[in-house]
Amino acid sequence: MKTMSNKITQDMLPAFQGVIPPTVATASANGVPNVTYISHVHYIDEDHVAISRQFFNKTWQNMNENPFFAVVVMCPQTYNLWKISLRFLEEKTDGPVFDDMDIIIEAIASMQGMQDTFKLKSAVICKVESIETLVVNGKIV
Amino acid sequence: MEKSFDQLAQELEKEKRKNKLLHLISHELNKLTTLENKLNNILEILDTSFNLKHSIILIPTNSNTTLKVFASRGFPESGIGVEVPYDYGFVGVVAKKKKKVRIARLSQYYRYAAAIQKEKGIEAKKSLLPGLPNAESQVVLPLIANDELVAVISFESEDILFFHQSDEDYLMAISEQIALSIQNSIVFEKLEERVEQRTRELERINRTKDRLFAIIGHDLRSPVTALLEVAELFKYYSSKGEQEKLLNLGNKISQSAENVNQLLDNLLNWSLSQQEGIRCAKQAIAVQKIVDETYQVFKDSIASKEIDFTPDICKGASVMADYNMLFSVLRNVLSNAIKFTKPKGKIALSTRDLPNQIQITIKDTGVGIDREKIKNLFTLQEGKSTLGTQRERGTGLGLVLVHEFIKINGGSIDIESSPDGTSIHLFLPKS
Repeated sequence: MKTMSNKITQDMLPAFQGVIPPTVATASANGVPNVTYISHVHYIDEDHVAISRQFFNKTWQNMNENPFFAVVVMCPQTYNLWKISLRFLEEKTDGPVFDDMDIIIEAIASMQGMQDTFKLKSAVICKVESIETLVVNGKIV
Repeated sequence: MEKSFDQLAQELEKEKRKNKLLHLISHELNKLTTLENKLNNILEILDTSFNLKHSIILIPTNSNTTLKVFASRGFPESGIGVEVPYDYGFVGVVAKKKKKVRIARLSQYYRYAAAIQKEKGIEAKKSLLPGLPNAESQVVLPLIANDELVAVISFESEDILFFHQSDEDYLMAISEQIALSIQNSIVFEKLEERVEQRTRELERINRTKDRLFAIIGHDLRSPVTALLEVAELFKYYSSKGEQEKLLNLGNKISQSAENVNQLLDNLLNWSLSQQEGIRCAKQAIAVQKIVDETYQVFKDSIASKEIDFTPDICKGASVMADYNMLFSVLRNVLSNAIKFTKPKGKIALSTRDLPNQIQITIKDTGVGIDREKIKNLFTLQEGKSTLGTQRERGTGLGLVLVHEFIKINGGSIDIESSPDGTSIHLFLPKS
C-alpha cells in the first residue's frame, strides 16, 4: 500500500545529495507534459526544497505557467523511491539557500576561469505538497 | 516502529567505532608536536576510521589571501607547498564562505563546464591542486576555531557515494577540536621558529662580542707590545749612542704607530656603527680629492713595496656620502690592496660613471682571496684575516666596516678575485 505524507523525513535525506539524478515532471498551462533529469533537489527543511536553475528552459517555462509539478528522488543507500509533489513558490538569486546551491558551480567556475559564464541563475524555492513512497526495501508499494 | 536486533547491533557497532575514533583523535590532538606530524596523523586517523584515502589539508597563509597545502595523502602527486587563491576551487569557496560542501557526481559538473567551454571557446584549465583524475565525489570541510578559519580539509573518492551523512555530521562535530589542535600546533611552531631566530641572533651577537674582545685582547695588544719593545730598543741604542740603528727604528715606530692608529680608528667606528651611534652626514665629495688624501696616508707603504699605483678617475666624478666614512672605506680597501700586493706589483684605482652611481674600483695584482673566504669577508669572525705578502697582520675588521659604511651611505660593494689579483667595486650614489 502506498504511504503518503507531506513532510520530508530524516531517512529521505540521502536522496537529496545528488548521487542519483532526480526526475522532474512539469506540465504547461494547457497540459503538455515535460520530463527531464536534474542534477539534484536541494533540501531546505521538511516542508521546502529548492531546484537549481542553471540550464533548463522548458521546465522553467512550465513552472511559471503551472506551479504544480513533481520530482522523483531515490535514496542511494536503500534505493527507496519517493514522488514529491511540489508547488513553485519563488525564485531566489541571493540569500543563504542560493549561496548553498551556488557553492559547487562557483567552485568549478573558479577553477576553470569561467566565473562570468558558468553561473547559477537562481534557486527555485518549492513547497512540499505531498510525498508518495513508490519503492521501499526493494519492493514496489 | 520497533528496531530489529540487527539494526540495534549495527547502531551499537557504529557507536563503538565513534568512541574509538574519538579516543584516537583526542589522544592525537592533545599531543604537542610539529604541525607537519599533527596534520599527517590526522589524515591517517581519518583514513583508517572513515576510509578516507585521498585527502589534503590546506592552511591560510599569513596574508589570508591564499591557501597552502600542508598535508596530503593518497594522491599521485602530493602537492605539498602548492598555494591557491582564497576563492579557488572547492577548498577556496569553502574557505571564503566557511561552509562545508559535499559534491556527488563530480564528473557531471565538469561535463557541463566542458560543454560551455566548448560552446564559448574557452580553454580548459588543469587543476592546481592534487586530485584524483576520475574523482566522482568530494567533501570539503572548513576547520574553524574561535571564529577563525584555521584550515580546510578535503576528501576525494572515485565512488559516487563514499561518505555517509552520519560520518559527515560526526566529523563536523569534532572539527572544532581538530581546528583548535591545529591552531595550537601553528602557535607552537611559530614560537619555536621565533626562539630559533632569537637564538641565532644571540649567537651571532655573542660571536661578534667574542671577536671584538679577541681584537682588543690580541690584535691590539700585539702592535702595542711591539711598540713597547721598539721603545726599549730605542732607549738601549740611545744609551749606546748608535745613531744609524736609531734611525732605522724610527721607521718601525712610525709603521707600528700607524697600524695601531688605524686599528683604533676602525674599532671606534665599528663600535659606533653597531650601536647606531655614528652620524652619517652626506655631502658631495669629489672622488679625485678624497683619493689623493687616501694616497697621502699610504704613499710611504706604496713606495717601500715599490708598488705601481695608478689612479684613473673620471673628470668631475662626485659622490654623495659621509666624508669620514668614505675616507675610512678607501683607507681600508687601499690598505688591504697594499698588504696583499707583492713588491713591484700594481694597484689601479679607477672610476666609472653609471646612470645613478659612481663605481670606484680598486684593482690589485695581489695574491687573491680564497672563494670560501669571500663569503665571510663582511662578517666578523675569527680566522678570516690573512697575513700580507710581508706578513702584515690584519684583524678582519676592515672589510666589515667597509661593508657597513657603504651600506649606510646607500651604496653596495662587489668583489672579484682570482689568484692574479682582486678587484673591489664600490658603488655609491652620484651627487
